[in-house]
Amino acid sequence: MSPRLGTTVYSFTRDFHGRTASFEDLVRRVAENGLGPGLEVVGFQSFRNWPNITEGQVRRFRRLVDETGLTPSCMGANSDAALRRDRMLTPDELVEYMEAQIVAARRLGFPTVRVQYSVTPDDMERLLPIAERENVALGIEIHCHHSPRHPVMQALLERYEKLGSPLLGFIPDWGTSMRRVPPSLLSTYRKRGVAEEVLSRVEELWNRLHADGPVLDDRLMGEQFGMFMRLADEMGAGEAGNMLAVSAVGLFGHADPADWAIVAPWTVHMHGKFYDIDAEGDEPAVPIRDILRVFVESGYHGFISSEWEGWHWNTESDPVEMIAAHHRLEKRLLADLSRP
Amino acid sequence: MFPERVIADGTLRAEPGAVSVEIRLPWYRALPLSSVSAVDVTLNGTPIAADDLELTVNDVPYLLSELPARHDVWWYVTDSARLRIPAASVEDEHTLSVSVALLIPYLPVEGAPLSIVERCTKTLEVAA
Repeated sequence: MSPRLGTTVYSFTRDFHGRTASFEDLVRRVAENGLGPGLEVVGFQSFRNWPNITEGQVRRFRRLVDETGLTPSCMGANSDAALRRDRMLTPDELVEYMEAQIVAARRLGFPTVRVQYSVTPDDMERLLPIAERENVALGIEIHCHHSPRHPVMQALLERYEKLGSPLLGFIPDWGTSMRRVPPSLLSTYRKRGVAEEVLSRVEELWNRLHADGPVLDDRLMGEQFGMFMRLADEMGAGEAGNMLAVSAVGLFGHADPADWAIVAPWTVHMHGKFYDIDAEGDEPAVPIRDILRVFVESGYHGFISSEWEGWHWNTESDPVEMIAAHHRLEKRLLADLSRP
Repeated sequence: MFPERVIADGTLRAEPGAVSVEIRLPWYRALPLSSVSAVDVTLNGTPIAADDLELTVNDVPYLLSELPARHDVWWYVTDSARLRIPAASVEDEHTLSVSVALLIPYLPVEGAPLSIVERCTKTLEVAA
């Protein structure tokens, strides 16, 4: 068994936010262009009043799934621990907040729910009976700045091993283990007039941090963000500096792809995050071969949602073409890697 | 994200003693009003006091000071909110600068949510 491919509708955020395509349009676009079979959505993006959805919304979505032949793969829930301004949610409140989304995901037909890092091992343990009742798997997303060796993920792993349930696991986001700053980011800011020297120093700084590996102590996050901001400020990059810093620290992770082996046996779904496809059909910034090798070896056969996030800065590429190219690359690598 | 969309094109209207304009949530998903931590506005280069602004979301007007407590009201990602800005005189066109600051509720770092600020400046004609 091989991993199954798919797409997250999040890849089309520029069109959806720009109101040039409805959610239904985008689901059909995924199906018509052969970007399934897996279909992932973000609840708070795709469904008005999420997670308090009506039976009408449920029926309409299920009809769309039937019409397109796609397979719901994962519901992106959000763990909004900082929902309130006056304080963080209590564990009771956060568990209840997640329960509502798990129930809504099951009603829509999703077998897996993406959960985020504010959910602690204790919270996860309390969510397990709910996952069992609803028969959905819960996966904590491992997204930059986290990584498999981060203490938050290690604590979850330890609890998963204790509980031993197939319904609790991880959702690796491939942007956690990158190898360079995406060339399209640099070329976009070059075109917008950011000096070449600024761009090469941003790249140098990212490469220097990359050599040290992923952040395992969250106190370093502010420090790293400050390093990029100071660099951009010193060089007069203006408002582009903030975007460069947020991306460099929050999107482009430094983990060793081999570290995915730590969580591979507990992986319930994956985000095939990518930014660029080069002339050879490869992803220059995300070492997809190295990542896939780990999961082929672990026998992973769940879904990989292609998640194109170049839309933050890249307004020229068509997400359909990007994801189609990503699927071609994944198929080629999976064929290579599964050869005896 | 999408700073250029914060002020929605073609939406400037004249109102008695004010102009109003549609603004967009510069984020990819619905957020509660408690996530909107600041809306800073200048009209023709003059800063407008936050107390004088009104933001209408889901057809209900709010003072900015009312937003922090409203974690029960959601601003859906594809909806516009209408921002009312007091204006001594209404001209044919106005230059507006609006920045929206958001606290991202699922991204607490060291106990405080990540803060995102998106600024947009446009010169718009008052729609007929």
